[in-house]
Amino acid sequence: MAKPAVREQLEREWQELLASLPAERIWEPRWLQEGGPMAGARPAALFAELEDVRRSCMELRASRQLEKNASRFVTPRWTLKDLLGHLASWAQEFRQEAEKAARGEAFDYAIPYAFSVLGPNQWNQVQGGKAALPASPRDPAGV
Amino acid sequence: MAPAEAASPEPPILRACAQGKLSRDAAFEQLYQLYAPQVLGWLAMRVEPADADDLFQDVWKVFYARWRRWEFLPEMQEREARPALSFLYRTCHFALQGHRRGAARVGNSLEAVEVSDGARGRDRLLRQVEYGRCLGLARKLCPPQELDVLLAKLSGVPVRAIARTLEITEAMVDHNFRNAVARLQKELQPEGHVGGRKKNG
Repeated sequence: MAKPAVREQLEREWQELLASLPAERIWEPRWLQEGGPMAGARPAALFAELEDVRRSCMELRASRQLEKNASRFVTPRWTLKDLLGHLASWAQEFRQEAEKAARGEAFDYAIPYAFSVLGPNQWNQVQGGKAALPASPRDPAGV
Repeated sequence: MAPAEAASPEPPILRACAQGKLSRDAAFEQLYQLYAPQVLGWLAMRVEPADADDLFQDVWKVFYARWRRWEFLPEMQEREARPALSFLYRTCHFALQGHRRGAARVGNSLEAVEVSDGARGRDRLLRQVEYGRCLGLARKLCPPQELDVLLAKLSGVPVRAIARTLEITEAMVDHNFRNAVARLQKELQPEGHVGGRKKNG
């Protein structure tokens, strides 16, 4: 059987290759733990993070479970639809900001953060109003 | 091939971490020890040594950031579950995509980068990597997607995770794998045989 022989050879060579890669001498993971997550991350790492989010959102959109569970509460205040609307409005804002920065333009506006852990409630209320969102998942004054 | 359905080394680590018997950092180090060579191997097969070094760190940075908020889902406790390996494979694929976009932007020739023998680049241990005949051929002959599938299968990445990462069907994963093996088989045939027939003279 010729093909299994190729497979066996591949596996053997792969194991030999792994054994020859002294990963712990090339990079000590403690550096990472001391530096904190994503410290000094290069563009490839940031791209990987963003691509993962983009793909996950696409997979979510394609999921049959999405529509079925749209009205289900995923936080004490927000349904799944609310949450996705919130993510979408921030994704849109982020894209606009990235495009503006790429064009080298100055920012003539800001989104003020509230003096609380709840985030920029005013912006959320304006954007969320388009989708009838509460200001934040935990903000009782929202909606 | 490392069979994806074989018992995975991950569930005991994930379980110990979820139960608080192992700290997040200690569990991370165990996963690093387990999979650092695999990640480095995937990268060493695809880019030049200096880039493999940098991308290796990128992949583990992303994994570490995710690991700090990792959710221990019940399906991750299954005997053959390899969620960490699957995540690393997916991240490696994305980081390579990002790297290529950057390289293309500065006008590097990717073909030259991918088949480089590492003669240039920083003085790192990866410069001494030697590929076996079969792996070396795979590196030179297989189209990118076939190589992606081949390396994943060699590492025991579940077919479902490969399909999800590469945005192809599971049947296509098998098809790519069979194609890669057939391609190598053809190249490795004994001398005197061409295309399954004996050479005349």
